[in-house]
Amino acid sequence: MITNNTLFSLQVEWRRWHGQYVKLFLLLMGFAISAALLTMAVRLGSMLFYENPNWTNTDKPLYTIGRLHEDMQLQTVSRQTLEQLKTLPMVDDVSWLSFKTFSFTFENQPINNLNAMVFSDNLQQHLGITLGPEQNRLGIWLTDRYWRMAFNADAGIVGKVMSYKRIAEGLPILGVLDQKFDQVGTKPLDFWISKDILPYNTPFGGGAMAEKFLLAAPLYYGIFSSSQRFNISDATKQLESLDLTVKGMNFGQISTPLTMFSGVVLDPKAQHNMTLLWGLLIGLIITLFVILTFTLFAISTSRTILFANEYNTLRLLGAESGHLLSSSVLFSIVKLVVIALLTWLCIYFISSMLEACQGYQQRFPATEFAIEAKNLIGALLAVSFTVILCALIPMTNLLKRSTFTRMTNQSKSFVQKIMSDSTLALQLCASLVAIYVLAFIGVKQWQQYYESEVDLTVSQLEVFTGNYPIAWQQVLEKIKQQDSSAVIVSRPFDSPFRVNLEDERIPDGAMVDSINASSNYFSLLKTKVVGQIPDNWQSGVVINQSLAKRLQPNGDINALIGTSISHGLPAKQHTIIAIAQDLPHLGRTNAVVPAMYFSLNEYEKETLNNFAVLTSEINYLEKNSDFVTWLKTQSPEFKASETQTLEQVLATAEQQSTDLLLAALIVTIVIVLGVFSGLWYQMLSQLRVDKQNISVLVAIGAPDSFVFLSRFKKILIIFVAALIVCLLATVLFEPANKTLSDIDPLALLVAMVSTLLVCLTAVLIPVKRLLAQPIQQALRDL
Amino acid sequence: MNTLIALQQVDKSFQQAANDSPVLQDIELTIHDGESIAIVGPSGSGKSTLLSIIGLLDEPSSGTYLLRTQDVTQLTRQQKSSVRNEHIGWIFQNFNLIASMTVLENVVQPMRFNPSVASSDYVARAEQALAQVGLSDKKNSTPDQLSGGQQQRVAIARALVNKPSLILADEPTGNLDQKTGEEIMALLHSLCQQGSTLVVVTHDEKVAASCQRRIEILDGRIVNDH
Repeated sequence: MITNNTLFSLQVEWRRWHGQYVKLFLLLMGFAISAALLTMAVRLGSMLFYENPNWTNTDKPLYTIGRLHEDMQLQTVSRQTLEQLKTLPMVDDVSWLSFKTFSFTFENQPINNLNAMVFSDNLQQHLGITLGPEQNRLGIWLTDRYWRMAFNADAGIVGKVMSYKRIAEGLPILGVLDQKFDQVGTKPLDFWISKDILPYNTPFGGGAMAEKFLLAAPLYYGIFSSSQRFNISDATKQLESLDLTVKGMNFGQISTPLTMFSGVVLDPKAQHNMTLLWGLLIGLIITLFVILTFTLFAISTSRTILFANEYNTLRLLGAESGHLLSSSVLFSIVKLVVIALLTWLCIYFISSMLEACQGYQQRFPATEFAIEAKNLIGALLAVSFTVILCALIPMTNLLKRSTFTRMTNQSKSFVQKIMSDSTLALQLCASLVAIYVLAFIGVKQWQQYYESEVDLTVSQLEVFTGNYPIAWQQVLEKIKQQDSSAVIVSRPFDSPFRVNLEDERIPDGAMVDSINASSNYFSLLKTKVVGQIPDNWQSGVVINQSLAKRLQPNGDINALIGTSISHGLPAKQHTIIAIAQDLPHLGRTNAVVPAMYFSLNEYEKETLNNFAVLTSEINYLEKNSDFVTWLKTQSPEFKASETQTLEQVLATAEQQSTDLLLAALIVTIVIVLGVFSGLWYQMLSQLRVDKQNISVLVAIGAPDSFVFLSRFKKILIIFVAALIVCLLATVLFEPANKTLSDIDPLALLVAMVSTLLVCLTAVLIPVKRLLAQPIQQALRDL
Repeated sequence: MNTLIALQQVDKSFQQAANDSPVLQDIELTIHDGESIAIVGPSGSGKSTLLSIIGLLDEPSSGTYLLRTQDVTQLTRQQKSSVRNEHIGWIFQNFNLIASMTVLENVVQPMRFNPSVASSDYVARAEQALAQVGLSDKKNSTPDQLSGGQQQRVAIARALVNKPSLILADEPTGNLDQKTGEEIMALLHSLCQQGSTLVVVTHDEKVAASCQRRIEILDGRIVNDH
């Protein structure tokens, strides 16, 4: 290596970091996180503000029109409004969609309150989508989600007819849509249907009056396209100035304002929340980037001062500026390669966290977050520019000076000092905020954590039988031959169906987990239950304590036993027969969701093509066990998940919380170590410059504490200033509607103590090392 | 003997608070090949500044500096680096070894900046230089593992590895005990006998007495040269 100048330069640069490798790695990790976040922010911004949703298939710029209520819900407009919209010069094409609920009868069973999206004739052509060969016919297009949930993915359902009271011949099921059409807007959809259904839903049945009604009624979300840039605000005013009424059909005064959005935005609240998250992301990126840049620059400057003698010796031996600069740039390039690799890992890790984030799922349902290479390259170029500049500037400054000057970095202008102190204050602010957020998340997860007595040794196997459903009673009998306590459940333990429970005792309704299980479910899980669940559980609902507390916020929840809940398709009264302890379906670190447990006997089908088996012994569910071998013979399309204990199942569910904590921990470590390293090197270089004064002071009797306090005093003042700035920012800007009283005192204390400890250590250790040298030697070294 | 260096009417002054403070005045000095010269004088007399000018680390404020008849004051920074690398070997009181490199790597350094030396020759030439100073067995040690005398020997090996015509030593025995100092001077004189010119700045009369020629400086002027 010694004969290869390039490799040798790299090796020596590497050795100069001896003992500081962790600091170097964390600094690089910080830049990698910044680059990853920047890449993702650019992509997310593009998805939020420029791209059309994944269920459309067009690149043309789309816009949404509706009426924006003050609670951020988008309300519908009349078709007359959309007709007038077409007259605006910038509008190329207008289509619309509408959400309605329908009730049908299917095979003599009533099916109520299905969520449907009604679409205009030109929607498919306008948005470039294809539903199926009969897309212009009036009929039902089932969503994949509903088809699987209600019809067990039975392909034979297509072609059958659902009875609809307003159409004598009923409505045929025309097909099953792709999964990407499962959700448009805020709610999961059960089916799509063409606009020809609407005349049957007017008070007039049909004819000219019905058409007039449909023209005037505010039922529609408009989607329009424009090939030219235009001012949305001006266009809205222009539209408002037109006559939006229909003669002879009055729906009263509408006070909510007409609103146009760039893009397909049917859930402005989710858009707003995601935009807020995006803004926070941008803020985090800027903060991280500024702090890391200042830190890297401070470290580079301090290290150049520390190694000035080495560099000067090399110059004396004949090294030209190019030699020293090129070896700095070379090492920066190696650092950038490491940053690029770490960035790739960070993107992989953070993307999965973003996809799991509730806000993302609401705004971009069933949409994979895929970053683009050009965004990644752009972010890496920004980082490269910073890293190389931070390496070159201090070296260039050193090279401008005379070789072997005894004065290093002694003179600083007032502006330089202010800049340096402001940078430190900014770094300490970031450190305080980062540690506070980390402590807050940790404290919250710790407070939410609840010790459930559920038997975590119970094993689970999820079974899929495709188009060949199996009678669950038969499956139960088979497994019971081996384990009499075994249970069949309609859904795996960790992913129950979530439904909206509308009960008069819960004014705003509640999202509730719904599980159908065979008898013995609670005894297998060793869960405490108040009330009686019959050995042969046929009917009646068991609710968890969380739901009981929602239904009966005041008073004895046990009094709910014997009362009933209305739920199901069709709606049915279910008597509460017992109240069970909360089960950690989503993991022990997440808040408990209210839950209802029904007997599998009440499930609408006797055969299932997706279910889970729970047993007390994992061996019964192993791949080659008698039971699984038997299951394979029952369905040619048999597939099964890996057999796991509930401990393993919950560990997966809890991974998201752990990931969030881990991400916060990594960002915090990067920021705190950045602050520490910056302060550490600043202190080292200052001590080097002031070594003579300090040695003389010690020689004439100054105690160690004097030397330490003289260094620490200024940093303490900057720390107090940073703390005040953080608290003032909370009061003035109220981030996420937080006020001083919302600040968690424990998390704040942790943030203050930790940041102070970081400062203390960064000052104390270099000072102690200097003072540990014999005074004579320190004086002689000068 | 051929003239190696000729300083003619060299002045050097530093600017201090709007006034020029003269450090060297009217220096006339000729140095020939193979000479060993001691520059002596009290602190602040200008001897280190004179050495820095001879070693191309500093520039005279006025006057001419001829190195083998070439006026080096007219050279660019880059050309001076090149001349320093190929023709001058430096030795310091505090050794100035690079802490993050081994002994062998320290000695290799001057060759890295010398395009006339092939990289395949680096190790052999560095080992040869280390053998000359008696430190072959320490080539893989780091400077902090060596005594003061050994560190100065490494510095000498580094100074001579490019086979310079001029070796400049600034208080080479200042940080060493008497016995080690004598050994180092003996080593430097043996190198001088092989053809190099040696210029030493020193406070030590014994060191000065060991040289062929003694130049005394007082208040920036050469007051004695014999």
